[in-house]
Amino acid sequence: MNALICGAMLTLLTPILAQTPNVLVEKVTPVLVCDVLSDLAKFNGKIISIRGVVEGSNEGTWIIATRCAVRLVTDGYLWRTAIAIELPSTLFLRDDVDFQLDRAAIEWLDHKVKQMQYKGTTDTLWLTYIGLFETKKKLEVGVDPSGKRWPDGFGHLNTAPGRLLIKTVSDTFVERGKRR
Amino acid sequence: VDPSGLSDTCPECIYSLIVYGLPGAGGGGGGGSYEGDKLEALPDMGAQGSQQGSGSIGISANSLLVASRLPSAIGMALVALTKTDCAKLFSTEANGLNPSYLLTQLATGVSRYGFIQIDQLSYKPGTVRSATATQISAPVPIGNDAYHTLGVGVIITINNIAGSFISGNEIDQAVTILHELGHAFNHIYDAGKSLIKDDGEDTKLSESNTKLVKDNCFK
Repeated sequence: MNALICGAMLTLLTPILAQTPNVLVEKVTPVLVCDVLSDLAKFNGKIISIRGVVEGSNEGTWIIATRCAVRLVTDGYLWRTAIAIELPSTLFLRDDVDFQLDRAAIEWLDHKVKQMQYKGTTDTLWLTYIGLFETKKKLEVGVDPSGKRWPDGFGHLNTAPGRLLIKTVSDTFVERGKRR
Repeated sequence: VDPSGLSDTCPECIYSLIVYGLPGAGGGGGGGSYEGDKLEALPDMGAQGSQQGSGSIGISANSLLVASRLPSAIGMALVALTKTDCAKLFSTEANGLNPSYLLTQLATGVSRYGFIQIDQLSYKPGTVRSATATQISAPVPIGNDAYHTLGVGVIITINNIAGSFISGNEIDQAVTILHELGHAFNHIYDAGKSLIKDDGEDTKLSESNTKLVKDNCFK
């Protein structure tokens, strides 16, 4: 896994160093949510940097795109343009992730968002997450006896076609009054 | 105190919770201290200090705190389910499961319907995440050697970083349990559905589901 991540970091990404308070964060060229969802296999199992709008409820966290030119469809099911955001330390997901969450960056983000007076009900929050992206070789879609179709993906209610186990976060931007 | 009275019979076996982040439990264990009834929630993730595998004291303490609150929350939820208005949110189809039965099955974690566990969950800055539900799917034979993938259970994960089990009251915690139970009814193919809607990443819908449970079960 170490070799995989290091290899991915060297070949896929361009490391730059950017500074946030008290911590050096490895910053890599970000891709957009739509780019990842249009070529899941390319990014699967790799450390990537994703930029997008962050959505969160009492039950889940996602990085989303509101419009993608290409939409992911498997077995006739149109997947949401969302990637579930999860912690590498969430043990029920997997316990063999060989990097740790940059808690200082998460704290810095919380502080920054508060300082920017972000309002979840009206504003849109943009972030760049760096982490390990995972999807399934085959994204199954089930059909229950009532005919209702359901996705077997990631995150709350398995609705996302992929997940990012986050390492760090950066580049906060708030769009005022533009809730997507 | 367990208002359902269930835990009086066998407190150690009624709620067989899976708790991650406890000392010695899984890769995130190690370290940790527990002073019985002196347990208090840590203010935030940052206060948990150390990283996974290197003595996650805060996470362990929070896991114990959540584990200590969960039986009472489940008990309150079971009591609420004795009210008609609350029970009618669940098992809306004919031949559906009794909601108290399904909740007890999830709490004991011994059936194919799934289980309740405690773990760390990510969050969006400025929001609080209490719990999540993920579906367990499995191939079910439909004859002629053919199989059909169906949702057979759910895993309900209670957040040990923040949310209702850290900073909420007992009603908030019971509401969280019933909200997730509603998802379980919709995602277990033969459970009988519920009026809790699939909220996915729809924040407003998630809030409206919570309000529906509060209004019908705790007013």
